[in-house]
Amino acid sequence: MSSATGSGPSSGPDTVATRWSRRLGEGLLGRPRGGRFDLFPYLLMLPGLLLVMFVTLYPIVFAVNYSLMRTQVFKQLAFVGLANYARLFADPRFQTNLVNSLFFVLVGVALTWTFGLALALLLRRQRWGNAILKTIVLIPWVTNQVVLALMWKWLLNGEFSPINYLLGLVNLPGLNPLISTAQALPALTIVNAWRATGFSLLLMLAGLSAIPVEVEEAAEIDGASRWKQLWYVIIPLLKPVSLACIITLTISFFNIIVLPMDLTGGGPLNSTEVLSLRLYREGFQYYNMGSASAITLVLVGLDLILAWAYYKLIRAETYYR
Amino acid sequence: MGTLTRREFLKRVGQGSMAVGGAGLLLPVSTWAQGSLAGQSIIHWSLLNPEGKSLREVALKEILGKFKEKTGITVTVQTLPWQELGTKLIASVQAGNPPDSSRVNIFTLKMILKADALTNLDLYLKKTFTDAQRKDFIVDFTPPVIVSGSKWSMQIEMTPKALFVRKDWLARAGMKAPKTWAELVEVGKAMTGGGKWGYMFNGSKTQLNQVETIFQPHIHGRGGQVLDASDKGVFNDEAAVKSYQFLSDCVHKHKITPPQVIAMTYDEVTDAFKSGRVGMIQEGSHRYSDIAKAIGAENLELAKMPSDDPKRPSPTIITGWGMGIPRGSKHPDAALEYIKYYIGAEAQEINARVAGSLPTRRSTLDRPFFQSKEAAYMRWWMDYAAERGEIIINVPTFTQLNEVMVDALQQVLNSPSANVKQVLDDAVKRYNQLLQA
Repeated sequence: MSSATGSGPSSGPDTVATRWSRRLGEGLLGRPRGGRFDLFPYLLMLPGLLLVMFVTLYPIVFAVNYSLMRTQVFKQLAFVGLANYARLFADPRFQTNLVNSLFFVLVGVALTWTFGLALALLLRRQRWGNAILKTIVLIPWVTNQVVLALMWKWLLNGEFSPINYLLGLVNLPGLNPLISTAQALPALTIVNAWRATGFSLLLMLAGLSAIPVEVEEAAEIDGASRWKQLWYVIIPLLKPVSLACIITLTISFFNIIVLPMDLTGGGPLNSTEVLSLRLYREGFQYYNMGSASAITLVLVGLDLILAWAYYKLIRAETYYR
Repeated sequence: MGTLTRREFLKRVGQGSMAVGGAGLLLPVSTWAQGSLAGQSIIHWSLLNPEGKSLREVALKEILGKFKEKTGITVTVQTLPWQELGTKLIASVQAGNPPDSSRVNIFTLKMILKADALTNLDLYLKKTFTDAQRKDFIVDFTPPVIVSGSKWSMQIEMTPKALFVRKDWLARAGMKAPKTWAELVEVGKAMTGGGKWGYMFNGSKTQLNQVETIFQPHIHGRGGQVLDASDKGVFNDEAAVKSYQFLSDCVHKHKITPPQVIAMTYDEVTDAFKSGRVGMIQEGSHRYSDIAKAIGAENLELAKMPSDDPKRPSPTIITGWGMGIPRGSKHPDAALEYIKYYIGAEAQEINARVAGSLPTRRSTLDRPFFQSKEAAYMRWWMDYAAERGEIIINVPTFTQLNEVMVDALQQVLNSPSANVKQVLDDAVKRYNQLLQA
């Protein structure tokens, strides 16, 4: 194709239009002309690339810079090296934040994935009311987190909860998880998993629709029980979709602020204060930009580790090679 | 128009002078909206939405209409959560995109100034107000709002706090509003039961900056201090220990407060009172009208904050909003006009008449509304403020102070056997270390 064979867009008179058309075609194919490096495709990418670099690299450079400084609001007072990091890692509250975040993310993602898969398995063959059911599950995912937080705060309020009223009717003890240092974080994690189940459900349904019916039928003919079909056939075949779902949720859960802020405020006694909430407080309530930047970079580090793990797992995956 | 006789001319000049002189008592020296300002549009940040339904929002809408009518300046209000106004203002100034004017809470003022986010108003005020007008404030906010010898915001509202009591519940129990903390416990016990509670306070960190206001009347009323003269934390003295112990006892010993308060915000406590779940809360004058509307004014009694001495109530903590011009405001002159109007007699009267907000300007009290029966309760607030008013603590680290105090409160509420003195010693140490960092 194109200029190498003398056919295609370049075969006519060598006008400006055809030259550009040829270059565009070559550029998009990424083929160097005459063995020379072609700048043109990169020029086309440049505006987007600059924008992406600005919104990703600039904040990182900003955060690295501020994390090494003693600050007064946005004013840099002195270079302090790694002192902000040292203080952070020695801070028991930060250690609590880290543990809370890991629990919130790992347990939350596991629950969300499980809920999503379970619902997808239920709904994939369901014909009646399928769209309505899917919409209902999706509503929390698309609803403002402030609204969800207020609703759950009311539902989980030990004094005014309608759930407790119903439990009381059948002589069961009421719930009051938000005032308990042991129960508040699991409650927050479950609420968040419930919120994100719609997202997981959509991905799982897409994944399930890509699994050929014959594969499941073959397993059934071979005498595999439903459970074995799920464990040995469906879940392995859903691996790429599951990984995409898990990594997206992981990053999303690590960075969540609004739900914990409005549902528990990080309490009681910091038992639900996750890293992102602490970051918000340091940055936008206390204006300790040095500490906030150090926490940001710790979060970025955690996200990068997870992205790397994701990449490795995708590469190790064998089913669609 | 026909020609004037000399007598008529002098008479008209005399009337005009009198009008100008009279208005001068209430209005700033400069005239309303210069010609060049009419037609301008400013962006104003507020916690209130002029399209909202609360009485304060209804009042705001009326004020905006009157202001536009008078000056030709359009004010576009952008509404933000009250607890985020200060921090968002700092961020917007830093980003180079601030509003033209903004509400500024008295307790976040110093943090905002630390970030250099407000315009110095001294020059404007000197040009605009006479000395007498500058002193025309009911409560002297000078010490907390003068920073580095300059003024950065003008007080638009004065909000003292008091004990809001369900009068109908009191009558049912055959009791009177409490004057002492011991009486509050007794009244609380009589009110508690059947899903209703006697007393509530907020112990959540979600609306952080409203926690300190619980402690200030308690601790100062018992003769202690939250901060010393150099702004170091000293809230581990005997009065503070008694205060924390009292709040813990309300939950664990007297059982007049639900354990749920550990997770309740300031707004949620107010809502619980409005919905008839609790009989006594500490609340500000700014919410009086909305609460009276919800439960009926005849069911609402205002009481001075109790103390250990029935003859001397605890102080009423006065907080309130000011209005300032952010650094980098694109229309500072129009913004100043808005501030001038907002602290003028007309707007202050609208705020009082519609929303029950207390005025800040002494001269406003001459307006007819303040002589009416409906405004009688406002005089109660102002008398209390005059008797035992105390401006809320405002230090640049106010948010952290609140956090340390609420962490200590949650510790005490979470564990009935907690050593309160030890908890407060640790809290004070933590706060003072934070000041050094």
